Amino acid sequence: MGSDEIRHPVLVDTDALISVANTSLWPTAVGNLNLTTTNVCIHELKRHTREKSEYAPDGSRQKWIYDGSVAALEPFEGNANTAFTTINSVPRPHGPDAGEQSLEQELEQHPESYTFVVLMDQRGRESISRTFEERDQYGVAVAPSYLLYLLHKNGNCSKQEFCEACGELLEGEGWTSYSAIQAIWQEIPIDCSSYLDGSLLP
Amino acid sequence: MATSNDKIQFRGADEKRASQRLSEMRLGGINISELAREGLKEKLREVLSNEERVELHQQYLDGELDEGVAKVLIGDLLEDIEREREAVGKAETLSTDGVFQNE
Repeated sequence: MGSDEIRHPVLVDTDALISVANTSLWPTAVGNLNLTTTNVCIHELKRHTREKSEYAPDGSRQKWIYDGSVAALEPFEGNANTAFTTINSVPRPHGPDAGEQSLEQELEQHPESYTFVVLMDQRGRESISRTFEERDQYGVAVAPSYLLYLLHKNGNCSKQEFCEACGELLEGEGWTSYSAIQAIWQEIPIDCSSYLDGSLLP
Repeated sequence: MATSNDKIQFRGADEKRASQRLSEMRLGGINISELAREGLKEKLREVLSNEERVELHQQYLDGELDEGVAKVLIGDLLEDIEREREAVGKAETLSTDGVFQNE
């Protein structure tokens, strides 16, 4: 730890990890992306696996958080994996938004290290974007759906897989991810109409 | 049910007296019409379900819902999407060096 910590250009928070880890593209993300998070976010994921029940009903928010946390933790816990790294937050933030705060603090301390900061919370993204503007100009805060798009852009998944994973994200996160996914579909026109139910489409 | 008539009538004697009473207490009075308009907008947004918001947004994209109505009902969503689009647009201009394992 310390000087050995590897900072990849993509910094991801707890809720963003949970949302993407719940899609069928997570193994593809694990095999192709370099991601960095903080020890505070890892701690939050671990807390979810303790406090949320494995036996919560399918389709419930509890189950979504539990399953996503378990899946998200896995690649960070193997010592051999240098593609998924954890940075220690100093000082360590506490409280309900600790994960998000730890990202903001990390970015303030190392603005040159990151290009994409991925957060589920929209206000959190606005705050991170402001930090980028004040410190660095170069990076941007994006929603978790952008991680799925990066995989598609790099040729790591088919259009169908991308569209279906967006659908899974929409169904799992509901309203939270709707605007982010609509934005991707509108900004980078990807026709998902053959793969998704009409109610989920742009 | 609301009709195409601009005027919206409420059957609210107590609400009317309550607003008149508050208006009397204030030197400049209160703009009851403005409050009612804002209140109605807030309530309409509040009672909309997520599914209805999605449906309305789809109607807006299809040109079946005019901008004025869309702004009242899902204005915040339209702003959110616009902000997200800007972020995605900016993200597209940035380098992906170090993002992928196979580089």
